[in-house]
Amino acid sequence: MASGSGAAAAAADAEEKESGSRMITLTSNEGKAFVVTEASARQSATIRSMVDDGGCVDKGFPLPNVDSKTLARVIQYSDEHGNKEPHTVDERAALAKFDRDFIAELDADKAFLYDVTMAANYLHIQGLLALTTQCVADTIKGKTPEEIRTAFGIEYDLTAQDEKEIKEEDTHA
Amino acid sequence: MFCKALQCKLFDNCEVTIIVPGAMHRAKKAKVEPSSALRSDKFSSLPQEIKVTILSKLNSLDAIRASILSSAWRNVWTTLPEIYLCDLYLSWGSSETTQRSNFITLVDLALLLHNGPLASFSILGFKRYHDVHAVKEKTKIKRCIIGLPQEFEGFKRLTVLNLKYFSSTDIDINNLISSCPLLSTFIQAPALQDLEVKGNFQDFHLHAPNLSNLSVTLDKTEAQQSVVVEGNRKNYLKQAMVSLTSIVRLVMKRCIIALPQEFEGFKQLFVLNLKYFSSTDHDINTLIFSCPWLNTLCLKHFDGISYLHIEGQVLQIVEVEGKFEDFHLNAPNLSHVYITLDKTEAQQSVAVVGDMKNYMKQAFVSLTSIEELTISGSFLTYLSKGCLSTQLPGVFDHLKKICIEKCFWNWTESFYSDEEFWYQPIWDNDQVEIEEPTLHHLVTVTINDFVGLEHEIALVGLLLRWSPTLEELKIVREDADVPNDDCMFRVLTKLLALPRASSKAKIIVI
Repeated sequence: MASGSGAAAAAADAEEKESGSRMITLTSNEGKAFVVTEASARQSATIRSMVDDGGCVDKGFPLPNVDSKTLARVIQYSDEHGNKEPHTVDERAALAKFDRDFIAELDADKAFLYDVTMAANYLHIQGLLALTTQCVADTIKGKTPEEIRTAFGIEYDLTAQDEKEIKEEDTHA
Repeated sequence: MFCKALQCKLFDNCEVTIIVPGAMHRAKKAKVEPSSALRSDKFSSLPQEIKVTILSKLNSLDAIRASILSSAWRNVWTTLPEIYLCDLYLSWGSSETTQRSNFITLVDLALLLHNGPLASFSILGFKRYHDVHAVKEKTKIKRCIIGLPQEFEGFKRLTVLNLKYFSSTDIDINNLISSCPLLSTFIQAPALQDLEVKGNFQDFHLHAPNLSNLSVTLDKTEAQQSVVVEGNRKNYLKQAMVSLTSIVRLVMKRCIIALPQEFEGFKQLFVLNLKYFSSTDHDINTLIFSCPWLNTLCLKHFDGISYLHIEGQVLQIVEVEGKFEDFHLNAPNLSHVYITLDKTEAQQSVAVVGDMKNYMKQAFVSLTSIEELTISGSFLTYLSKGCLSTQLPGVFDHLKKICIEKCFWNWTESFYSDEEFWYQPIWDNDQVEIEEPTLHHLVTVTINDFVGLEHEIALVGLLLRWSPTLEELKIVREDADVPNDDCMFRVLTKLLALPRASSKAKIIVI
């Protein structure tokens, strides 16, 4: 244990040694508990800051904005990225392959892709958010507006009145 | 209006096209009532920042096109931090010309509607655009916020820039303007406060009544300059000066300073800095005289001016370098003066022989609170040839630093016999008895190009004897002209032997 260099430093030191071995409980909005390693949970900047602030690690973290299905999928990503650090070329390739497969499944289910994106945003998991937004962008790329609307179920809500309004504004501009 | 036409081309496979200058108001409205978007579909209800993230992964054209997906996606692209437009992505339009003009309109649209901080705005054109005159060469940006990216490369062919009702930062607008090398600038910017224009423009129309800081620099091209001088084009720069009612700092380089009839003066001007300019006696003197709050004046490398009359009750710093024949300085609060007369023997002798009024001798009389004085040798020569006051100034009470530069050769030619003249050039040659002044405030002296002649040593002697508070006397040797080390050694010995009025005085020879 660190000695003499201040209590804060010692605490941080202790925490560092503990992290990875500690387990953290995340609870979905349906009340289902998921127990994950701290390293996995730390993929989320939201949880990371709560843990670092000395939040209720033992009581677990309720996540009222995430349902169980989405949380399970998010944890799948966090485990893969949090629990092991890729060192070799092979490990990195394996992680990249995981990402590809992970996003390919989501790509097939756009509604679920949306849920995971929202969860990644809520939990501040930058890697996952980059992955899902890239997936959306790839879908948009090179498609006509009609195709994009179909792909995402976007409702075309621009009415003739909208257009008229805009024209009026234009004359004032 | 041009932007409407674009809509049809950009989105010609769609039913409605709805990007118009008023669109920014629309964006606000959409935030107020997002309920329809929430009901309709999940993806439209993504948070704005995620939408931006998604669009930022697309090429800018696709991002702009996403506006027509639904009301929730409209204008999302306008906050993208990076816009990259490349004409290779475009395939619409039948003819080559249409494609080019579409691309230009796209660029205009992007500039027009983008609303937010930009990190990068790049335009990559593989086609040639110079023949599409109407659109390319006039960019009119109305009602927009100009936030220029760091990597902005400029509109290399833009000749007219018309900005109206825009808000921008000083740096951005200045970058925008200076990155358009062919620009003949036309600016209407009622809110602009700080403007720096550098470039190779031929005419300059400025309407910015709130401008407080203006810097205009023309690129070095002789041909261009003469166009401004001799050409028949309207000279808007003249007009520009009328509108600068609240200017505080004015910097101009390579310009012609000509005042329009209706010029009323810069009532708030604090700093006037003109370099490489040409003007007339009347114009330049009127200009200076009509700036009641002028504090700092810098005139360098000018022509067309023979008689310089500088008058200002609050002037503190004056720096003049150039060719002039007469010089009238009436500024009781001056604290720093730097005067260099460019070497032109002909001009100088005119001053001596001619009948013109010689105000120079009076000039120094008014310098009651001068703290720092730098004069060049040729200017001293000039003073000596008949510009001397019969009256002793005795007014350098506050002088802290005197710097006499480029003195040597003219000097020896003129005053070899009259050493005292060196320092106090104001009194008359004929006066035999000179009351020794005491330089109470003289702290630092710098002598450049020192070669160790007798009169130079004598000057140092006088300075040391007269200055009870002198702390440092710096002598910079002229390397090329030093006869030899042995000679310099003798000179140094003499210097060290000189009596000093100040116990703190040290002599530094470099």
